Amino acid sequence: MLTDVEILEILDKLGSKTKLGQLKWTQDKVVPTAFAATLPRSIIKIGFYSPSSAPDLIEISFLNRETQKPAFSCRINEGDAKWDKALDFYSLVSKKTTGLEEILDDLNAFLASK
Amino acid sequence: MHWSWLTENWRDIVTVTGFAATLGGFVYTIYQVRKTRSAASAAKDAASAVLEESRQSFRRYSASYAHRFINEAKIHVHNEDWDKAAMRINDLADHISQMALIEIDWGAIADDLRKWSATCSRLANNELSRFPKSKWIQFYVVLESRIDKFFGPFSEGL
Repeated sequence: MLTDVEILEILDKLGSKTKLGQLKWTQDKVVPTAFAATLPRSIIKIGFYSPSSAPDLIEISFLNRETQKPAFSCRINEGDAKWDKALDFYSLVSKKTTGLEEILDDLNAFLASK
Repeated sequence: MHWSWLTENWRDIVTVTGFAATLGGFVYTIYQVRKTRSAASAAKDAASAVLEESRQSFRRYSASYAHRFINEAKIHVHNEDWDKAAMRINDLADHISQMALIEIDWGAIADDLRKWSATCSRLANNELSRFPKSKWIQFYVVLESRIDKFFGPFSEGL
């Protein structure tokens, strides 16, 4: 079990590593709004879901790489205290993995040129 | 019995008259059968009309109840009275699930309503901190129009 503070701290650190390109994420083949990063002994998964009759939610799971079983999983619903941080992190992972970040950089560079 | 007193002519007349009487009886029987059949058909038409009228009355009753439950649910959601909202949405789901007997598509709508009821219950229990208002508005606008379409006086179902 992880506390809210610990989860936020982990998200911050994972965000920094992702920004620096030190953590590679892959998009899920079935659910396009879910991504996974593999570490030597674990797998980190993050997914964005929008149920039709409930608030949007982000699910974060830490799995044992060998057994593929989740050791910890949490759902952060829209409006929760951790929501903004989780959404920022998800957006970063999504942009990095789908190539949107590069496209935006390219677009911005083009718009800034004379 | 000895019929020799009848002349040949009279025998012909009796035969022809007998044939005419048989034919007349046959025609009369056909007429009676047709009359009975048209009476049965009229009775069937009347029964169908009564059934259709009952069906329409049931639809009007169902529509008015469904609208009442939706309106009450909307008020409770607006007031953020989540327990009451959950209860009213559940009542609506129960009511709508009866419609699945007429049209199977209503079963899926009843399921959606139960999910909305669960969301309100989670809000009442502080398991959620925000109600998805825009999704709710989108849902009930579609639901109200489907109810009007289905239960209206000239409806043809979903």
